[in-house]
Amino acid sequence: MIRPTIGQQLDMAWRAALPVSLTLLLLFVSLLSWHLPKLGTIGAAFVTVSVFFWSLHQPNLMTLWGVLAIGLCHDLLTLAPFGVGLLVLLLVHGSALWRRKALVRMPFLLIWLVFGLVAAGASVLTWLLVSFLQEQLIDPSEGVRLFLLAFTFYPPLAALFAWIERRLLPTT
Amino acid sequence: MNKRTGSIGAAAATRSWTHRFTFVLLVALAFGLMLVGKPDSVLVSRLRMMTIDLVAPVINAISRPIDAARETADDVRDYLALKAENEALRLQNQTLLEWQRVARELQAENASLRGHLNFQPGPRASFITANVVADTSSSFVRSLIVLGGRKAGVAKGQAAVTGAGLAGRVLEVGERSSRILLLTDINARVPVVAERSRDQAVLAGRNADLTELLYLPRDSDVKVGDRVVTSGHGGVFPAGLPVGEVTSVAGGHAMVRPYVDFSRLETIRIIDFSLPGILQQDLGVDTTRMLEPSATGTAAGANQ
Repeated sequence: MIRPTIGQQLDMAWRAALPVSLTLLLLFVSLLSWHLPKLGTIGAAFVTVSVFFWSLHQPNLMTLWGVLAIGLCHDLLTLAPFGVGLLVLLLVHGSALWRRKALVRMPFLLIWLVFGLVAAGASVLTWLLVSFLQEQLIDPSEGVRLFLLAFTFYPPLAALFAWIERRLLPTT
Repeated sequence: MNKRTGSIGAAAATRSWTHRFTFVLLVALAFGLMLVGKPDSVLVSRLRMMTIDLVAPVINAISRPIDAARETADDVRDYLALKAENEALRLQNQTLLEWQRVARELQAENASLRGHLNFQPGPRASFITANVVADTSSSFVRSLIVLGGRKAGVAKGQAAVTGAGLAGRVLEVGERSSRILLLTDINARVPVVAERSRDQAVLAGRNADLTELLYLPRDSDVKVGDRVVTSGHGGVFPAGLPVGEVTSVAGGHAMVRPYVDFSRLETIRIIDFSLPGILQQDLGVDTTRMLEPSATGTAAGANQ
């Protein structure tokens, strides 16, 4: 067996780190002040889509530790109650892995619908936890907005990720 | 062969169990963090500011090309509108010259009247102007991150204003960056007074575009269109900073639209009025309690 050179190893390392670093990049980009009317929780929506997609298609590259890093970054950067984003992302990751083998073979529309269910659950859970931790009822429309953003952004982001997966990721 | 698949199967099963165990462990960790983050937020707040100190320059770097593109587009638009703008500016200049004359007269009159009254001037406010690098507002919080922290003399509780009026206050301070809690955040409370009727109230954010006036007196005479300014109570903000305009009054509830356009904040002025605030008690956000010793330390240092 031929040992890979350092260059090859580095090359493989950055490709393997792509799903997690891409998610973090999306989070940063969503934090930029865009001077646009507020879309609301767009960062959380992007991150939910990204974690679900990569957990489903490349579970070896979107590991629990990657989800931990993304969740912590999200909670530290936004002022949301600490730990909520992490918990929600862990559950999104878990639900993508649960019955993954059956799910990954489904047509895209069905995967999108399943993601819709997961995103709805994530939005309701976020809303409940934030309301509970802030000890006052948050406007439920905020939870609805999070769900709608995640659901609408799934197809374009999934297309982008699938393209990246085909072009850049090592075939496993 | 069978033996081999058997051992692989066993290895896979072990891996799956380890994975499940880690998953449960991390979920427990998330719950633990919620519990830790709630009552004792000193640690969480410090961690947050450390992360933001690290990430703010990165976000700033990412935003450079986007800003450049936007500026170029603005330049082109400005160039096209040059003639009309020139005309408008010439007219405005005439008006402003007239105002300048009036201001000079008033300044002279003011000086002479102060001389008659033996007027005691208040403490001078100092300010820094900081770039807004990140908008960390989500549906659940309204806050910004600005480049400018303890090194620039920013301290917790200072007022963040724009030309239009009060935008918020400094919530957390890092070395090079700080977090501004906006007026519209659900945890923000500002003592205000209606300029015309002199009714005192507390302006409360609702994580929405409009803010609400709490504790209005029953017989208040607040009307739609009234200006709302800070009352100076609580010692956090000085009196008289413009805050917003009343947009609706119904059944003792009044809504206020802030003057500041929060979707277009590029720079923000952070003003140190050197007021000894009583921030320990306010606002329900536990994070405010931390940094108090260092914040007062900086303020003391700045005063020297």
